[in-house]
Amino acid sequence: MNRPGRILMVENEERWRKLVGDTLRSGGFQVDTASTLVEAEAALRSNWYHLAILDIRLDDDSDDTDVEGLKVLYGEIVAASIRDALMIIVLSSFGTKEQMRQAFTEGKVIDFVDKTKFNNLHFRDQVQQLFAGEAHNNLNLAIHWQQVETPQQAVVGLEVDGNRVKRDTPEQKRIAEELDDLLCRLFYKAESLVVQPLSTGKSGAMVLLAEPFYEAGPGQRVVVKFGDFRGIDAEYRNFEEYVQPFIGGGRSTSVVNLRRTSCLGGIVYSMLGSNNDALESFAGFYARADIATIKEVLSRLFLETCGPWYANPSRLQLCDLTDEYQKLLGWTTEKLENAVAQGLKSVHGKATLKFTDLSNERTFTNPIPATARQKFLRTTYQCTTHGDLNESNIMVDGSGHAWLIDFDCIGSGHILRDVAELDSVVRLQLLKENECTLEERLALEEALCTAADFSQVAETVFSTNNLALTKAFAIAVHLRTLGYRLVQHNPQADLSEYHVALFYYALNTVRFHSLLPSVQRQHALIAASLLADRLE
Amino acid sequence: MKFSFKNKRILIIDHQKYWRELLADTLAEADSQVTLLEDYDYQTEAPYFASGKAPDLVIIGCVRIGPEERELFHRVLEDGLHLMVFSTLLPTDEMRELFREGAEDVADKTYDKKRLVNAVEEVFNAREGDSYRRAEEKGLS
Repeated sequence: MNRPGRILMVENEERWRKLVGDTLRSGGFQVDTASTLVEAEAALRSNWYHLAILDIRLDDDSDDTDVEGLKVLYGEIVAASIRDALMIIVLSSFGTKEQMRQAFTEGKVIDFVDKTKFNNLHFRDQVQQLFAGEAHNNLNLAIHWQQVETPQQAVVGLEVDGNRVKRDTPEQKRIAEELDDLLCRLFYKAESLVVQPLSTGKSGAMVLLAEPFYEAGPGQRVVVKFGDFRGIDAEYRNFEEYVQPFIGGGRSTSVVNLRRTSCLGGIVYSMLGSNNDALESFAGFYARADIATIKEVLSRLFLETCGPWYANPSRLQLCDLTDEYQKLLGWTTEKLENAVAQGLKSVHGKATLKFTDLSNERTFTNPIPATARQKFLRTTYQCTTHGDLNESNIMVDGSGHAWLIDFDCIGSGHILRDVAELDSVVRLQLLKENECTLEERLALEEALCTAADFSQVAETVFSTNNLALTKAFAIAVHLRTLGYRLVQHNPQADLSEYHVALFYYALNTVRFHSLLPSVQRQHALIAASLLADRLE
Repeated sequence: MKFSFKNKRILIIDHQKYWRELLADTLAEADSQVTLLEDYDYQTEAPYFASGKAPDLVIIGCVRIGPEERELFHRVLEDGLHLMVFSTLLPTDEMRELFREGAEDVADKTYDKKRLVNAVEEVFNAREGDSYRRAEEKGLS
């Protein structure tokens, strides 16, 4: 596989465009040209490049005040912050010393070449050396996709610049090309790469499992998260602030590379010290592991891997949990009402709800209006939390250790929010559509609601012959006992603060139209209804 | 918000005592830890840098860039230190080469306190870019 280096040349004089363009094309590069500021800006918006070659004067070579080429640099490139995705060379007869200094310091150009000393073959060699070295981009990297055939399939649903990538669109083609290039940058020392999609994050980013092969042999399998470059930038900042200083014990996820293209950012997480031959997402692990093994992994996750976060809570304080969860989950009453009206056709009613998938005539409190004006205030702790602890953001290795990825939402929050989110994921999402009926799900929720306080949770009883339900119940109880350990020093700790968190995560699950089948969303609505009754 | 170079360790090297002290006094007013050296001797300084006290920035002032200065620049850059150069006589070719080799800034030597401080501050500001640039600075990529 030999991809061409992509170059944009911005130059007003046709003979220079032709000379430089033809010279670079003869060296195997793909060269686009622009002769004006407007054309250059349009090219940079509609296409992506590895290198831009900019002339300073684009209007009038005899005009000392003409710095249109530098406007491209400081306008479109620096202001649009693509300079970290793009190498830049200024090529001009008219550069001043101060322009050169500014171009190197502010514009971060690779070189500032004097046209009066230009030699086309020497320049071609220089550009070839740039791509072979400084660019840190292996355009010959052989990428072998597994589970999907092409990167086009891997980018569907990705959120870039606020929009989801859709099938058979020009955006899909461009973002797939950029993903290919991003992998060439992230693994520039490798000769080949085997890569498979692991999950689609609800945040709009995606996760890949990658195994690089070097000249000396296979490298360690790593996890690659990629998405809109701004989101990946935020994630790395969170990693530096909240993960590196706290998460340790030899089981810490580390960042081994971070790169970007025009639109995408990518971060390579290494689970150094893991038995990563069997590295899998928590979703896959949960589906195949037995209850005892899952409990062990979760205990290690909350008490060891994330232990330093929860062990350093704030002082006890009155917290507005309603405000915190509504902000975190970004929903409003209107959005929820629409989600029920549009997405759950088998649910009827306003103040009370009837579920046609249940065989009896039982009615339930509609949790949305019932709690619309309520504020749940609790005296509890805040601490650093992951903030998005779902089935895709926990990796489990072959020795049963949990590793975190995705630090986009990390920050200070309700101490129980991570446990409550995972509890909700287990019951409402990992309990699959065909594994049990809505009635069985209702029985599960009613059993879990019988505990009046944390100390009673471990004694909760639920009888069923359904193995999937048994597993979901056992894991939910285990998570609640772990939650109790996090707040056990709080003399006012009561199960209701956990119920508040569960309530908001349940309501949030109702919104996942495109991700979850109806029965799981109905389950979520019933869970929210029962919790609303408890919280009144 | 501008990044401050407060508490940064800065090493100033120049044969000209007046300029060394002018810059040092100016930076010290901003609580930088300034070390002055007339020259840079790897043998003497290596243990200091290896002990985790490597300066955050090495500023070298000179009249012109000759073989001795070039040797000094190379040693500083080879030691993985951040380099800033002020030179009285600074041809554009020399400036370009120094930037290409990795200097963070190369400028005409000035005795204007404000310009000196601005230039140093800009070097530190430039390091506080987005994550991708900082990752590159840290050698991640």
